[in-house]
Amino acid sequence: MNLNLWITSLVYGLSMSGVLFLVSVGISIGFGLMRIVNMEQMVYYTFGAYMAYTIVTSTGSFLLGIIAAVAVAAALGIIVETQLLRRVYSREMMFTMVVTFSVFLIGIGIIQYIWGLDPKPVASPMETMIRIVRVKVPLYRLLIFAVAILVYIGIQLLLNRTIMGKAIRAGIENPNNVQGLGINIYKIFTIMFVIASGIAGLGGALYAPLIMVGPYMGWDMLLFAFITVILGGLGSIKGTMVSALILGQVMALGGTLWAPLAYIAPFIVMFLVILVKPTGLFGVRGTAFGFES
Amino acid sequence: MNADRTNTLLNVSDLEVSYQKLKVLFGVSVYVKKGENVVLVGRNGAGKTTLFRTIAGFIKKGKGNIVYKGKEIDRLEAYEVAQRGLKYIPQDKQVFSDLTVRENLELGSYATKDHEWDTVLVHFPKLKTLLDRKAGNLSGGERQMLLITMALLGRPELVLMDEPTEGLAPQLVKELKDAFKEINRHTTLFIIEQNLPLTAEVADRVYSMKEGKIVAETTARDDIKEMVFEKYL
Ligand SMILES: Nc1ncnc2c1ncn2[C@@H]1O[C@H](COP(=O)(O)OP(=O)(O)O)[C@@H](O)[C@H]1O
Ligand SMILES: [Mg+2]
Repeated sequence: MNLNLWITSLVYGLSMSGVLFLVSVGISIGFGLMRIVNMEQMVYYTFGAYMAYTIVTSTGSFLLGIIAAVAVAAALGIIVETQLLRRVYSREMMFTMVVTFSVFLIGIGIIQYIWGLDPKPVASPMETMIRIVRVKVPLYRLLIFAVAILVYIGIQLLLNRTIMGKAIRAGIENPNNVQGLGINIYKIFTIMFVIASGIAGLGGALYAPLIMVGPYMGWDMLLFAFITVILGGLGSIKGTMVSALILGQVMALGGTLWAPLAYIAPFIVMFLVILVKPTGLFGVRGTAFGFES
Repeated sequence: MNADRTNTLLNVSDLEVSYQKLKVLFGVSVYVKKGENVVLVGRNGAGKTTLFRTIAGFIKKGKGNIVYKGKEIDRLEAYEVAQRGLKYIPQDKQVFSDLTVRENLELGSYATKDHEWDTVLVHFPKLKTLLDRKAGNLSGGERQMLLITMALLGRPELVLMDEPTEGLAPQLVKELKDAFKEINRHTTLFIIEQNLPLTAEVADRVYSMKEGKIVAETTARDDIKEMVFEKYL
């Protein structure tokens, strides 16, 4: 492989990592904090992509598209969390999984109803190429990665520097004891959920110009999002980031070497890691789901 | 039952609680008066923790009612019960291990808007030297001290402690005993204990629980001193 291929692959991998992180972090938070497997994150991701499509097509502004994507995804998140998920947090995991999966399916149905089945293209927000060691690469792909890093830093600051964040970290360890102090953990759940769904919407909008936006785009992503959180360790934001970084490169490099590898390699990496460390790279210890002690 | 029931802070009557189909509390009635230090004794599995967790709002009751300061609290969420000044310190001594001692206390302050740590840290001055330590690295005794200190933020009127001295060295048990007496001067306590000599020393009144029922209430000073509650276990 020559330098050109290497660098192109690296940059493609970084953009993939960015998208993986943005769509997976909500699943990781949902598991760590609310102890649910929220498959319906992919609805926010898909809605985000479609909002980008609709707004960019009608106004020509990608920035507006992003804002609309985040706003709509967050709004959907509020509705789903307060009207539905809040009622099922205390149920067993299988039950909440069926519920969130149903929301995912209903979401796909609504998307088909609004936008139809045909895939939609989203105009690229920028054609700028920049040079990395003589090799020209699309700036937009690097920007996606930069946004993901900023989101990561934002979440870390929230968790480590604010009292709300400390309550969230405490809640990840033991939600009952947080309540015992007199803190309304449900309010914290809602806030975190809205942040997570907004981020998933952002991921969808950012990825939209690089793919064809379709009602089933969440399916493909669901699989990779799950691999990302399992490899990183459920509940660990840092783990999700590290795992997204690894998987992005694995997918890009795999695809460069032999196209089908882009889809197979992530599974192989996940299985290898899980064999050695079942809780994933940065599995969080908590009181739920066999993570005890 | 006891004649003078004025100043009743907590009144639990005919409480029945089940885990799915397994019934574990069979019509439990207890009360705690303002200023008292009431101790609940009973063997493992008697249902003591279940009673406390139900009062604190973590478990939904089957039948009966729980009245705190004249109001029914049995439909409230656990955080609402805590906000009303009824705190529960669980049996497992679980602090937020990933946070420092300081951050643990900050959470207690955030929950209660009570930022006067000095007032609560007087009972365990040692904690002041451990503020920057990860709570996960504290010893069992230090964890218990931190949990009590956190619970006292917001000046709760009633604190339920679930086997606070379990597994602690004798010296620490003595320290806690002294703290209980000190805290009890301004806070009502309802404590689960398996340490009977300690119970005899600190209790104003003792409930004995067996197989999900209150089987005895020991009120006379001398009876408590002589640990007559032991024979009901
Ligand atoms: N979460 C639970 N699910 C089912 N049964 C439980 C649960 N917690 C406690 N029990 C049962 O309820 C009974 C009372 O337990 P507990 O209240 O913890 O007693 P104690 O605190 O007096 O040791 C025991 O038989 C125990 O096995
Ligand atoms: Mg117990």
